[in-house]
Amino acid sequence: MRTLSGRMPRRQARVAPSEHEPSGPLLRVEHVRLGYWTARQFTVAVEDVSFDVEAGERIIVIGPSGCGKSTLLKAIAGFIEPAGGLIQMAGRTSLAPGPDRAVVFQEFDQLFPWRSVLSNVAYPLRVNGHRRRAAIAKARQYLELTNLAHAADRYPHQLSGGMKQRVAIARALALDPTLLLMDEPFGSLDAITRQRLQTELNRIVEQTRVTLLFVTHSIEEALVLGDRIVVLGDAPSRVIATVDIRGLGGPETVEYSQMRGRLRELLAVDKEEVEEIGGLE
Amino acid sequence: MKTRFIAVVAAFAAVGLAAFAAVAGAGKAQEGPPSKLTIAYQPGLGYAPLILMKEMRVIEKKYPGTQVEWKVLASGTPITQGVITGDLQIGAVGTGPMLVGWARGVNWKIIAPLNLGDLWLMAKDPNIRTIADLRGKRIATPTNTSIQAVMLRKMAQVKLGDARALDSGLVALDHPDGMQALLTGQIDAHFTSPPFQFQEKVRGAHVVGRSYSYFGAHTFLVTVMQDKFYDEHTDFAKFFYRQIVAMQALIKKNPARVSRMLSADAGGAPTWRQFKQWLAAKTPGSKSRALTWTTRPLGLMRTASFMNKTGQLSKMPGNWKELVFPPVYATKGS
Amino acid sequence: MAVSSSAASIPRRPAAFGWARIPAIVRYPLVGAVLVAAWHYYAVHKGSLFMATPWQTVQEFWHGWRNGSLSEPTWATLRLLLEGIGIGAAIAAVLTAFATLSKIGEDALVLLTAVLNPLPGVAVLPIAMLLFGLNESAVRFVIANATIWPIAIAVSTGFKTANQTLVAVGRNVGLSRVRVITDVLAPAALPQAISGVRTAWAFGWRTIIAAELVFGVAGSSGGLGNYINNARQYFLTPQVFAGLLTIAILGVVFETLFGQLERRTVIRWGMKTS
Ligand SMILES: Nc1ncnc2c1ncn2[C@@H]1O[C@H](COP(=O)(O)OP(=O)(O)OP(=O)(O)O)[C@@H](O)[C@H]1O
Ligand SMILES: [Mg+2]
Repeated sequence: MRTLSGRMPRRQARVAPSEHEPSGPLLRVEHVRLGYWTARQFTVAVEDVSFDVEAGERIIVIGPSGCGKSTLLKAIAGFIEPAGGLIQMAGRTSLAPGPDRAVVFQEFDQLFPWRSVLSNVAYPLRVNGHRRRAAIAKARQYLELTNLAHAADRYPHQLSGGMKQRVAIARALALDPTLLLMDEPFGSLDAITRQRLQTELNRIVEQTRVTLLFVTHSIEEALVLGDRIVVLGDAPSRVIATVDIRGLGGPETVEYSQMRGRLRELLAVDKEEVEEIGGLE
Repeated sequence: MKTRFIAVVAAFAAVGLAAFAAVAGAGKAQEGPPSKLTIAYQPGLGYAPLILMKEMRVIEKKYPGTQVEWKVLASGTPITQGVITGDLQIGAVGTGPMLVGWARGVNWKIIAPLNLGDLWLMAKDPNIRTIADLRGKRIATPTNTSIQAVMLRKMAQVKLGDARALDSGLVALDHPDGMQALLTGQIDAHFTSPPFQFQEKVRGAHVVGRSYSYFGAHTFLVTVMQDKFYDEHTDFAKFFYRQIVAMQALIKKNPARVSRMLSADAGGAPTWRQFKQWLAAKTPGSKSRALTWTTRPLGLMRTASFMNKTGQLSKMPGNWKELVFPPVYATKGS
Repeated sequence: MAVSSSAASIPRRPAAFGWARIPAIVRYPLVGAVLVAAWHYYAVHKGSLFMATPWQTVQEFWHGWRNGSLSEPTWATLRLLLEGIGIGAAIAAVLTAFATLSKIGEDALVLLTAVLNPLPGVAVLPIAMLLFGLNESAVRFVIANATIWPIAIAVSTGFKTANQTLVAVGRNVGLSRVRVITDVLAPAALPQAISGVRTAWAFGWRTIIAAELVFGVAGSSGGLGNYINNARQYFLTPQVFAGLLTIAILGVVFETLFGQLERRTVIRWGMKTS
């Protein structure tokens, strides 16, 4: 809980103490139901999803396209109110969007085009009370972390897709989020770039020890980046499996191939019922 | 992109050349009556002789082959411009713009003066009684070169010692707008003409000054045509002159009938009784009428020399006959 | 990341053909000279009452700017125009912000724009004269009215079409609703805002010149429209043309300024291609 403890709100008296130990989950998602109002009816995107995220953990949410991953992430970020269930962040419910849950969106055009790369990272810091000098220094530090120091003075339209996503990552990380939310940030990149950025992200997460909730539809990505994997079914989605892959061997190992095979099966076969996989525990 | 640009330039050049050729080719005219005739005037009682000619179809009866078109334009500037460009063959204008055009080299003269007119400077605020009260006030005249603006300068010269003393308050408004502005208090004074001055008086404005008392009786409106048109259609021009004389005589002889025609031309409002009353309206404190129907020009040279002194007129005519066509010579003008 | 900078690796610009091969510094003067010559001969042919020659126009222009007879009306008109547009732009900004923050504001803006935008600028003049009297305020009002709506429409279109991801980012990094408008929506709508102001500027010009023609204030406070009208009444064709030349030059100057503004902002930021 290192740096987080200071931000943790006092627990409420009416909540049972056992659930509110500092060691309790940072994020709780309980029977959450999400959807959108279209024309006249409510379309459900996420039927019933539950999982917890412990501080310092790296959680991957995986599922087929259109199953509601982005919707779920937006709900956690505070942009969508759940139609049912509960999202609890560090003991708080009814969440408004805020920098404690910094988001790296799926879209490339999430940088402010009228700000330079440096300013895109420094400006949110200014908004959150950093002085000009401090904000710039910190922004530079995170641009270095994402290997973008040389592009600090460029404008977003002068960057490649991967560079844009790295700026967005730098911006989100610089905010010192309690929970970093990433929505398929490498989704539309080529395999080589994607791999490089995955490695980079792993390094950064190790370095900053940030809690990560990462959405993807790539099994490889999930295996490379995650501690645990939450597998969602087709929309309206439910959790069809939660897999712990801590301690899983490298890609050359048998366990790894077995795990990949299992996940492939899970995602290919449309399962109505929730299936609990023990993983490697 | 570049080729399109060339094409545009070429198109412009082609259009320019075509216009050039068309203009150069036109103008060689025939004797006899014009095949097409456009006559323009403005709203106002002073244009009555023209309205009568229109209503009685005088020209059409004499020259069936001539296509006659009448235009009523809100202000004088397009009329002078139209006569110059040849879009209008005959235009009715005040003596001011006529003189300014003549001095600037417009080849036009007066074919028939329409009337003499006592023009009133009206104010609504009871505190404005004299010319001196108008210092720093907003005064509307039709245009800067209008006879009203000239008369206002004459008044300023006589009463304030400086012809330009009231210039800074001048506002250019055509008569109907000016009347509206005066009655709603947006301007302090309005130098206008019949019938607007009568209407303003009825609605509570009063006369601050009259042009006759500063300038004597003077010509108000005239009809002008280009020298070239007169030379090419002399018989028609003379006919036109005679008809203006005839219409003026008719106004004097049978105001009731004339009023009915004017009212009909105006679409029934104002009523013919209203027109009859206006035609008979007298200048306050005098027995003479505000409008006198005659083709005899009066005060042309006085107007010209005053405008020359105030710098409005760049050159002076030798005598009044330089300003009119021969049919007017016989009237013993001034 | 370094790019090889050997000369051989730089591709050649595609070759131009024909007229386009002549350099621009020659091309434009050439076209200009042809146009000026055409103008000259046409003016000489038509006579001085109809058209001034280029030389007469330039002389009169120079003269008028030296002795103030043209510069003063120009400044008067420009000052009034800028004031009117300033008022219009400010009101448009407030209206649009209000429309973004509340549904009532949005309804009001939609209704006002639908009713007032189609009114030609000068058509409002009689009302303005009744409200303000025959003075500069009436003109300011008319110009403001002519400029509010194109700006408001442009900016609210800009707001509506603004990238929603950026709005989400703004909220995510902790911006309040008002700051989302000022810090995210406003710059995002800048391309539309600039073209709105451009349109407003053109509307404003037309309106002020027309307004001055309708009640051209003679004497000291007259503007450029009045200058031209006055010259017309005195048949001073060179002055008329000098006035028109002034309007044309101002048009070019402001077009250049807007171009600069765009180059420094939206084009530089890749929000609009040049
Ligand atoms: N704004 C919206 N209005 C209505 N329906 C929406 C909206 N956004 C998403 N949906 C619907 O909700 C469902 C889930 O969408 P979501 O974007 O969460 O999918 P996803 O899992 O992120 O897919 P992908 O992997 O392709 O990004 C889809 O069926 C989609 O059509
Ligand atoms: Mg998605």
